[in-house]
Amino acid sequence: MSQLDTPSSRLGVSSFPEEGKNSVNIAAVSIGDDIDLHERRGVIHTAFRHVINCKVNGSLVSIVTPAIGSGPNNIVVDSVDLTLFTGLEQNICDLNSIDFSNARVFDSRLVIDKYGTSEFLSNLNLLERIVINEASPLSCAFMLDERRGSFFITPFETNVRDCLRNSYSKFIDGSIEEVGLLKGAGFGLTPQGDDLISGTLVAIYVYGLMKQLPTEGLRHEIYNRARTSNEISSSFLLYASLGRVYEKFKDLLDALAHDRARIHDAASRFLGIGETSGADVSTAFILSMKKFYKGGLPW
Amino acid sequence: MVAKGAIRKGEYFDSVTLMLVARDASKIEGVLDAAIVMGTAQNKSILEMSEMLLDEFKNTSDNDLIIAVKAKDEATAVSGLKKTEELLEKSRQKTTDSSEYMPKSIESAFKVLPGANMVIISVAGKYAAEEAMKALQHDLHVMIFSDNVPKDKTLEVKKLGREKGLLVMGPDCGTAIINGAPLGFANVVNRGDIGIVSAAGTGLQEVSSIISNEGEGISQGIGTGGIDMKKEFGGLSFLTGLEALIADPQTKIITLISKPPHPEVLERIGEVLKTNKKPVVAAFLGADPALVKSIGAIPASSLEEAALLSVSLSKGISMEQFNKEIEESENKLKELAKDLAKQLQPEQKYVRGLFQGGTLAYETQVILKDMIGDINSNVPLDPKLRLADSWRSVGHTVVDLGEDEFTVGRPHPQIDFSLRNKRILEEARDKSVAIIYLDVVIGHGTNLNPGEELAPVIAEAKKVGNSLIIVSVTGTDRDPQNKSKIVKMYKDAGAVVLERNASASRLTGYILQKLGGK
Repeated sequence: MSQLDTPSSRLGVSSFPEEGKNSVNIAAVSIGDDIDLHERRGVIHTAFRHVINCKVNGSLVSIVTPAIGSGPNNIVVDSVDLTLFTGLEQNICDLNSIDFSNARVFDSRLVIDKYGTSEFLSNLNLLERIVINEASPLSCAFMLDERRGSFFITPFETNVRDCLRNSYSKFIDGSIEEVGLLKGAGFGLTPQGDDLISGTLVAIYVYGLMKQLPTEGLRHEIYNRARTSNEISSSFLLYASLGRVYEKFKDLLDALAHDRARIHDAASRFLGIGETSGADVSTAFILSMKKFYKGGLPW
Repeated sequence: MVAKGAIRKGEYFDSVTLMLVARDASKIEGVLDAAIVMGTAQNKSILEMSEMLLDEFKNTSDNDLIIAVKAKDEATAVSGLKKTEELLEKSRQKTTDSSEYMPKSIESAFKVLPGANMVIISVAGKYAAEEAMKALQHDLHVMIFSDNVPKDKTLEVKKLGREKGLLVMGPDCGTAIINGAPLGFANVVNRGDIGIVSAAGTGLQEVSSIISNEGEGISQGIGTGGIDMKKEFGGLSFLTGLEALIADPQTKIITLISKPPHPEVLERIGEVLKTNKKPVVAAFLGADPALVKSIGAIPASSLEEAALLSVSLSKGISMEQFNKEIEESENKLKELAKDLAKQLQPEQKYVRGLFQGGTLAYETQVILKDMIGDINSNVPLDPKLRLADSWRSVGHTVVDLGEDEFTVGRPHPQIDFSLRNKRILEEARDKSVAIIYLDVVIGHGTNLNPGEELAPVIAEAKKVGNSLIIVSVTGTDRDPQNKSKIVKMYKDAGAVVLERNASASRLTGYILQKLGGK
């Protein structure tokens, strides 16, 4: 078949320059509203394919690809592979190598202007079904559907599952001390326990706005109990306690409040964050909101 | 019982890596449990509960990575820990190894290999169409492994491919064999004079493997992705593939594989076949044979029949001889069914099919429907027979474990056997189950140890229940896993093993008929 004939491989050419290493020209698409660009040099904390976390002037700034999306401390750049970013080898983060001229500022604040209770609860039920069906196996979605508990197979995994379930149920039943036992529990750089606390913090913020209740003190106390020396996780918790959210979560909350038809798409995008983070935050948000609607804030 | 561990200060891995490595570590022989977590107070408390908290872990901080392994004895714990650390290191190398130049875009790949004539695209679905358009604009054939490609974009890509006479295999095309090279999930088969166009991935694997096992070979195996046969896509890729095989001097016999195409697509295939002089065998599973005949193809009722018919045509065996051989093998199946049915108790009535391959799950339903009646499924032939809960079987049940509901967040069941293994044991404990039916698809891209993964589970299922376990194995002895070795392991574990899905399905049907089915 002449049109399918494959020429002999000429792979393994060493004379090609390593693409982009010497001439990085990355443009920012958006910049988070909590980033101060007066200070632009810092050190790299952690680097992954889609995220480079930097410490700049004591604050965490994340350079991310569009796949991750905007956030209060995110700089979204128009690259799909951040291993091309300069300074990685030297552990240096220099934001001067990013072109900010066309970047829009991402507003991470939540605006709650219309939440009909019955409609919102019905939308929350839809979200719950989506999370149960689509969440990653080792996420906390087993708290929404017990059958998903069977995804946890090894003895260590089942112990993680049971600890998360016990501590989280006590926490949203009113025991604020359980935050200390929940934080840091689970897998990964932002453990599931921390994501559950974040989901509940956002739920408290949303519920407070809807019912016009003062919740700042409560959110502040939970954050203080939850913060640890894990800078990445603590940064997520801080923003959640301030009612500031990342783009995909903001979009999901907007769909829950205003546009049922968009919920599935928005939820799928949010569930794609981290291996379990999106699902864990969603699970806590659903459980917390339902609890608050039924009996008010338990703390 | 002994626990061993290590601490990595300031090392970070994404959570999926840690989860997968810990899972792999817990499967090391003699290892009872394994954990790789950040050294937070709560994780240390869970490690203590799991009897894996070592003294050296007690002073770790939230930013330290803890690796812990619990094993039956000291030596196993030490070697288990070493292997776990190696697994972790390997996962890092996978993501950071830059010793070989890796193009970051189609454009830079062209610079490396300017004479290339095909591009394989495996990126997130929403980006795949754009990459495919770039490849077509450079006059390259395309195989799109990605799924979830927007329909409108898919149609644009397929239309451009058709206009240019270029193959667009996919989206969601998992299998192809081009010029002898297996692409995606494919088997190592003989080269020969039988060309295949298939809108069904495991269908292509099953047919090409049977042909090769019967001593004949494949010229080209062109996949199209299942959606190609739907009305809105008009069989655009299928028609281009068929025309390529008609024009190909190495191809003497053409084999077509699909679920029943939309009538308009079937008509277009008939139009193309008007110019064809080569014998064409078509397995449009479940389609009316008269319609298939009307377009000038020889109808085959199963993938097995399509493969054997193609082999007979290639070898020059007469249809009379072919029919005689089929009848003889069918009589042997019926005899075997009679013997096996005697092993079952009166309360054992149902088949539970747990499939890795979507096409095979479909074929089994087509065959069993006529033999025993309604089959419940998560991918039913009749929407009324859709399982309310795919995780729970009802009556006769066939489940395709490759469907999205089972694969979100976990590898395809041809790679990760754990979910099916768990369900096999659940079904085995159900006293109403007569037959647990399993397909195993080997070859490139699939699990490299299917014998070790499944044989112990078959043996365990035979211990906890009285069900017959029927296994169909798709593949060849030249596959990395070696089919004969796998078949022997399953037989030794107590399974009835057949080497073709249709035969295994009919054996299942005959046994259930003996038990009083339809």
